[in-house]
Amino acid sequence: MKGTMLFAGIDIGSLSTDVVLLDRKGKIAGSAIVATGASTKKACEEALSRALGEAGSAPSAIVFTVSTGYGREMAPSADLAVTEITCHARGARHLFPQARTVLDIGGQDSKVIRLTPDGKVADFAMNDKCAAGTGRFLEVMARTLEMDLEEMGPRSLLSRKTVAVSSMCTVFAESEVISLIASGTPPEDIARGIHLAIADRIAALAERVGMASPAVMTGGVAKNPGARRALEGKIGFPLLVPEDPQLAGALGAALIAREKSRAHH
Amino acid sequence: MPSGVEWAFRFASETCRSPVAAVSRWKWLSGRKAAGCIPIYVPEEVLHAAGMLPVTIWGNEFPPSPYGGVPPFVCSVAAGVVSAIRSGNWGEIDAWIFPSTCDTFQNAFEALFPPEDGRSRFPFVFPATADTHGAAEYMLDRVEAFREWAGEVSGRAVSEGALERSIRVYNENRRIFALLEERMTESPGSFSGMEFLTLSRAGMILPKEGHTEILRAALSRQGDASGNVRAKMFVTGIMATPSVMEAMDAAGAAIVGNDLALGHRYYSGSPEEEGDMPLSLARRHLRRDPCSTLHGSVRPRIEEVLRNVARSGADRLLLLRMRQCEPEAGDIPDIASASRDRGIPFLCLDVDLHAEERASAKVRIEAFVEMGE
Repeated sequence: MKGTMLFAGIDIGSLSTDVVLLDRKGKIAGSAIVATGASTKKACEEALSRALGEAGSAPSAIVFTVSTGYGREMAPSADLAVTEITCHARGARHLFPQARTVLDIGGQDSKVIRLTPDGKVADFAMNDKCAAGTGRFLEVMARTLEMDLEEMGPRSLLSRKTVAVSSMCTVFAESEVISLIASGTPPEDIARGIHLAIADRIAALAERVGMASPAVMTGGVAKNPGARRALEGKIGFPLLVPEDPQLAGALGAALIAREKSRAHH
Repeated sequence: MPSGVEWAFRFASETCRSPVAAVSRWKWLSGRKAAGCIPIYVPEEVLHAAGMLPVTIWGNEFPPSPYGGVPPFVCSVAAGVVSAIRSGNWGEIDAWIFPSTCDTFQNAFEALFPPEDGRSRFPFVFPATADTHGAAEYMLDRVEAFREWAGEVSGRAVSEGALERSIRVYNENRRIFALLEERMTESPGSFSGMEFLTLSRAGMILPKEGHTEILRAALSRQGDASGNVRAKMFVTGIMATPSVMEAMDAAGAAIVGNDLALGHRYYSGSPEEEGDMPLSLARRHLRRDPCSTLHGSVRPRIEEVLRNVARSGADRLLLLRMRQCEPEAGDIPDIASASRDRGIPFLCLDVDLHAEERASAKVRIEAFVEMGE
């Protein structure tokens, strides 16, 4: 499209690289989610290319790019790198203007972000280097249960009994799950226990920053209804979930790109 | 030919990179002994007066040895030092001073010091709290015992006159270090976090006379770097590592004040230069800035930190917590809530000398800087 101006947000996570392209009016013109794999550069190029294809635009239409996520400094074409904390806060607040807390559970880390009434980051807490409480934890557990990751959430909702799984360590939790399987515990109950373990971990982070309602859940794990329900049970109120929770960081980055570009010009 | 400022930073950096070589060089040139001081409250003036080189060992000078035999609940400072001693590193050190900075330090060194190591050691047991009746008398007794031990180890008795001269040397060093801190407060960004850490750490290895010259040369640098400053931080806690400082510098965070054990708390507080010298050193110890390990109540520390945050013009408070440091961990929730109650953004960052989480620390620091934007 001739004369199109696009603002790009690229969120390079450990599992996926997500791109959102905004047009001049702030409307999403294109988006893409691709696996990050071993090459950040390749993942960025592929995600951008797909998002541009959806927008029907050429790369030259992108006037400003903000990168975020753990690989933010490796994005080949980024004009600015901003942390995922700021970007998730920005994206979530854009989608839900009343939001006061953001819970982001990504592949490698999880974070709880408290927002000021005007939407700025007031405080945040992140998990330590342990994978417990992250998407990676769920992946490992799904593999142990020989269940598809997508299947784990709905299956856990069928559980009728609470079983305890350690929230402290992925390695210990994995051996606990193996013991539970060996003792004949139904997979649905184990899956629920796993979601409760994640919820425990996130609730502990939330306690550090202080939760305020309404809260938005972002990141890939937000698509898992079992994890969502477990978390809602822990924090005591319902969570708002965007249609594409994985794209919240990239959306925030694109919003910042649009704002920076306007300020720049 | 490097300028005085370049020379100062180059020399300080080289000292931090190769502390053993720096100590070895000093010993070769002076023909005297070096004393390893476990952080942080050793009255080094006594060692200086005995003609020895006091060297603060932080435990990150060598990678931890798998044969160190240190339990996992010990903090990385104590673990690093014990591991280095048990692995035969730090052979340049002739004698050790193990202060009772905290229970872990006291017990780790007593329990884990290799019995076959024949080097002399002095367990400097401080009064349990600095603000109790009798603490001054007890501390004076310990300073006198330390003085006697230093004389025996060095072969040079510590006279009142020598002690007075050493106190003057140390006080001058403290005065110049305070000027460095003042410059950082008044002109944010004038020294990067990494430069500050380097200058501070080098002073714990080099003789104070030389360090004072380095500080003077560094202070002669002119220029205004305030344009690159995105956030003004007050940094408190046990210590900072190079990677934390690099992350702060990269994020545009200027240190405008600190009460780090590795910075202000090591250098602050000057003993009187007249009167009874051992008493003067004992009094200095009891007047130390509030510290989680030395004071019974956390309240004075919180008040002091918040007062200093205000005085420095900082817009954020960063607490660097040594992982497994129990006294500090106990105080953190109170410091965090007091800071937040006063509207000062607060971040606590875990530091582990031997298992650094660089990417995670970097994202936290950057996000902390972005918070106000």
